[in-house]
Amino acid sequence: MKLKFQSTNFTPTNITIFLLLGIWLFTLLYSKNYVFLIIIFIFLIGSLVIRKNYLLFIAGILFFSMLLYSPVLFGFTKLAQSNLITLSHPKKPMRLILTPGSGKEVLTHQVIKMLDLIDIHDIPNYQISTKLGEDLLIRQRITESSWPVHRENGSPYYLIYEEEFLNYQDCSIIDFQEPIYLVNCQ
Amino acid sequence: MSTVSNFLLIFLLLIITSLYLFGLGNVFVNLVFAKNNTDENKEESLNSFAFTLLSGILMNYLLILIFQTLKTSFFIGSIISFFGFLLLIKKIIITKSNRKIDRFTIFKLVGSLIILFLIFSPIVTEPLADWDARSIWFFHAKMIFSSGTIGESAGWSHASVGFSHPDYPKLVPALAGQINYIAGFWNEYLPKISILLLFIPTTIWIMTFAKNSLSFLFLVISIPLGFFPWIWNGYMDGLLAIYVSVALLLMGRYFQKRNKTDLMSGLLLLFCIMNIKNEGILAFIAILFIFIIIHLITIKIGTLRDHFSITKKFFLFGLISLLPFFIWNFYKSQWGLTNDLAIGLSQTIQNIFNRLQDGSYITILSRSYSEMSSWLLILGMLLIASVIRNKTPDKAVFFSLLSTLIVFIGIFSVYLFTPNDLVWHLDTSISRTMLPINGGIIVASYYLIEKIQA
Repeated sequence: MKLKFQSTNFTPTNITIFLLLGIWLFTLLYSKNYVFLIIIFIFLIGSLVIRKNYLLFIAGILFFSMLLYSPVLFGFTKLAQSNLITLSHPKKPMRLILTPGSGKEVLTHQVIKMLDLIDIHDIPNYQISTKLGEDLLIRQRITESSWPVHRENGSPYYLIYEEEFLNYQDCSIIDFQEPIYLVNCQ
Repeated sequence: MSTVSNFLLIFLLLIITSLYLFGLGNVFVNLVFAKNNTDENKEESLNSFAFTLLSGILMNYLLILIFQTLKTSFFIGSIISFFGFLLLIKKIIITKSNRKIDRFTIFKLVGSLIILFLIFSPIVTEPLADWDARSIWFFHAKMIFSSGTIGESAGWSHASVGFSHPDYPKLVPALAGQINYIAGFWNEYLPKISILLLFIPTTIWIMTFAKNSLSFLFLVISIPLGFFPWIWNGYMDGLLAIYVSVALLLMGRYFQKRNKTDLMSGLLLLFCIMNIKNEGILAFIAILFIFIIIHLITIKIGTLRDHFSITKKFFLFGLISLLPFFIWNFYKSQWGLTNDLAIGLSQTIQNIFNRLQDGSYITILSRSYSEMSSWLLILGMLLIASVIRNKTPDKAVFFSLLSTLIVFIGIFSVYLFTPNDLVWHLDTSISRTMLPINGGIIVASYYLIEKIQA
């Protein structure tokens, strides 16, 4: 049986490609990635032996590798899932896209309460307590979601946790929404 | 309002915005490429459409940067866009007799619409939830929307927004802010339409490669889905990866077919990526550098005249397209907005030496490899096939791979000198920063499949 390989031209380009492939295969061996090595081995044997339907063989191996090892399958699943949900229940997403202020549900419970306090009392700016500020997720989320109401050093309005109230004894309570207090420290 | 009327309203917003951008782009195209392209062939019509639309997106950004206020820029933009449509009507009247309906072009257009329809749902019907999307990109959009300006009064220098990297490019935030400004309200869904708008030209360009072949099937599956979930979660990384991939695709096709529209389109994409994300600057330099090198190596003396004859057009095209990038950088320096990577400081060099000595570079390499291993597997197998079947890879393959290699070296260097904790930096970004690299590998694989199946 004459293998396909016997007709290969050893041009400088092909030799370079072989060298690069060799380095890569060595890396795979070194990193004990035997699954990839097996796939490559099967592909190599197939490429040498298969004459007819070679493109079909390539397509099979390619899509097998793509679906198994790349994010394509996850992407497809997400795409299908999202479209199915939207098409079966289109009312809610279509309404939300055009509703001012929609989408706040992705924020943490504390941030939603802080936003409510800011909105209800229409305060022009605010500060957050040390403990709230230590949580990066809360600090960044309240800063961007409350914008254009700024988190401002020097503001008399503080958003604090209930257990921090001892540190703000000189301040007057404006409102409370579990677990956040809005206080005025002017 | 009923679901149907809501859908129609969203659809109308998309159409009107696209028409506005197309009109703007048409003025740019007529201004730069003054010659009336009446001899434009059918295959190029989709290519030109995508080019005009993306030009419009870039010109809209330029207007916002020049006039700063959204109201003024939109008002002037609308007048220019209207003028653009007059030019289009004039062109249609002139070329009316030459036009025939090309069925395959319509199929490609329908294909683009189907892809856009499919990605509409994950992009627009899901709110902004992920970290960078909220803390950086669409926070900037909200700042532009709420102040009605991209100027300093948007609050870029405010003490509380330091975490948000206010120096980052503003192409998408400006468009998102503008859309919401026109709509008159802010929420966590509508601004994401800007991402969808930016996908329109690239989707059309991908469809220009349509043919009944394995290579196209591979391309149309890999390019959007291979970048999951970064194309619809509001991060700019997926968008950047797709723009880099399509630029490589088009410039690769230019090497094969010498169609100048492909070259111009590729270059326009490169000019855009600098305004999407800072990594775009690296990709711009890498791709342009490799393109020039390959071009110079393969140039024939006889074609030199052709190259010189388009220099003036190229110059004007490049100059206008680069303006948004330079204007934003000028503003940045005026307002004192600096990058957190602190490139150029002596500490940068120190970090590089430290990480080369303590073996951190191995961590960077192995983490990078794990992000691209699946696409490298595909590329490796295709290279084996091309050698065994005597299908020597052409310039398009080398162009993609060499450009990708340089981008990779650049990203690798950034990790070497990052002032942040390396493990933290890798954990929070490597899966995203490797996307353009994966894009380059996908494009090279596409051209290899094309070669093998030929």
